[in-house]
Amino acid sequence: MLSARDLHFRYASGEFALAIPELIVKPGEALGIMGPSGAGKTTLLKLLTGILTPQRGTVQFGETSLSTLTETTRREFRLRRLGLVFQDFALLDYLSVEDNLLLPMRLSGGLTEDIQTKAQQVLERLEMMPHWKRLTSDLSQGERQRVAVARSLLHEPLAVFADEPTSSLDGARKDEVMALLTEDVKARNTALIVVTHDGEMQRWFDRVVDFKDLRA
Amino acid sequence: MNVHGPLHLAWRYVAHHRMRTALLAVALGLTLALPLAVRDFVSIARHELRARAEATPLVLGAKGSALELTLNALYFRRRGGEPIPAQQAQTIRATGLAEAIPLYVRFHAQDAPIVGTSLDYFTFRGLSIEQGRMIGRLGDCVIGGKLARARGLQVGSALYSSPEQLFDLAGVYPLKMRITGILTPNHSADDDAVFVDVKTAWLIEGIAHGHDDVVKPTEVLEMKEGNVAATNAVRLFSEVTDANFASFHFHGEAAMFPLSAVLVLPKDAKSQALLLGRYQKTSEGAQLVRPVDEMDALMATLLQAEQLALVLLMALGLVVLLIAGLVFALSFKMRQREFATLEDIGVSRGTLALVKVIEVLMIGVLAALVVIAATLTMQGFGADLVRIAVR
Repeated sequence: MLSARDLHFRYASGEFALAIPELIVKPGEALGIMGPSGAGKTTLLKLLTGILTPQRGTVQFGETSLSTLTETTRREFRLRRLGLVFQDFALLDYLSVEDNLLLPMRLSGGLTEDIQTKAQQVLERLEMMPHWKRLTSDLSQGERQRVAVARSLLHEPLAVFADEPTSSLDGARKDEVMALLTEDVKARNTALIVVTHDGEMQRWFDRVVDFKDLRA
Repeated sequence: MNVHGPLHLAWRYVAHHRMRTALLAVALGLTLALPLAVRDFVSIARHELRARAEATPLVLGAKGSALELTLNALYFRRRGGEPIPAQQAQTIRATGLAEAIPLYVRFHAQDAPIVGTSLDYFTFRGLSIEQGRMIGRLGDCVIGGKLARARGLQVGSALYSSPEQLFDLAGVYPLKMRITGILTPNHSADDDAVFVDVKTAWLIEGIAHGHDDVVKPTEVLEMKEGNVAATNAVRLFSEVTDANFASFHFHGEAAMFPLSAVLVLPKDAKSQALLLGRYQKTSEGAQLVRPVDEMDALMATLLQAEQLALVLLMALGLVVLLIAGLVFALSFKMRQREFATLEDIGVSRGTLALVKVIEVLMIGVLAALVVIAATLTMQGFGADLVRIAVR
């Protein structure tokens, strides 16, 4: 499903460098990458999703290699084929929950009635339907995080990448969100890659790797 | 390229920040509309002023500012020069070269000018009665159609002339006038005026009055050269009625009663030239002016002012456009995090650029609507503004 090999990346400022010899995620697998804050987990996620471009190495989704794509097609691939849950949720404050959920589909031209129906189903499951028309700026942190998780699943992505997806949630809500993410992976035989420093989350993953073991 | 998504996103942003958007659009729109409005105003003024001036061959009045005289005679501007004696109109008639229509514009009623004139004025201006009838006797008035609508005045109701100074007890007293007719609007200064016979204007002036008969010796204050000064026990009438009409009388020599101007209608071009030549002599006690010449001179000044105003407004417009550009640039810079978020999701640079362009276009369209509204307003009310400006 996903394979990253010989990844080398250094920020232009030169302050931080990351080298990942190999990372492979199988279809239907939920992978947890554990590590302390500031270790470089978010940088790894950005490399795997093509937001950052490594100086060396490859990231491959099935037959598609990110390094062979142009900037434009790499963005299009990310928009249409990957599900992303950002640490800061990446929601636009002036949009409603509905508009934020449907934004990637709307901008990629892939908005259909099925997507809208699915959005409502996912929100229903996360007990967020009463907030459908509310501005995301009026929501609590936990509610915003659930909107971000819901958005990552709507377009049935090849893989979902989540950066601390439950950091703002309490116990019950954490389980609810993780159940949704892992069920989706199993049901569609895709991949889930979660980076977190929260040890309680380990039980949701098929495999857990320590971030420092990934690095060269 | 998918336009619907960027359009939706841009619309949501503009709608969410509606106050900011409206302020920017109105500022831009008004800045762009101002030069157009000035141009429209001058164009309407040129047309309005010249049309009425061309329809008025000559105006006779006191020496002094020819423009003031013209504005008084054509637009009933109350700040006219000194009055001329009524015999000046008779002098014109006596030449056999022209008709003369007297005008006395000094007083007002409900802020509308009271125009003392003769029935010939209505024929000359092509004014017709829409409701009621023409002036019948002393104290009657007919009013412009626009004034009647604006103030809710009707035939049969009364209209008071305003005192010149509220606390001047010895000054001009208000006269209660009877509205006998309402004129059909002709989109000129006549629509906003109150027309009375020139004798009624003199009545307001205090040259004529009506009162109870002086019957008791105790009511006589003084008798001098045939004139009787009565005590205030004798009631002065502030309204002309059928019952007291006969008591109204004039004091003094009619030839010396005041006029603010005389409209002079020469029989032909030769008569006009002869009259103009005659009144060029400094020995004449009045001046005869061609309104069209005065309006052309005024328009020349106005055009110079327009050119200056346009240059200044265009410079202002350029500055506002630059500021608007800066506002957009700063706004986009402040939203860098939002755009970075969209880029992280996978939105292409082209789509993001399209969102920005659509936002600018939306504000541009709103500004254009402001320009259209301002232009239509100027075209709709420009003529009224011109008349207000010259009155």
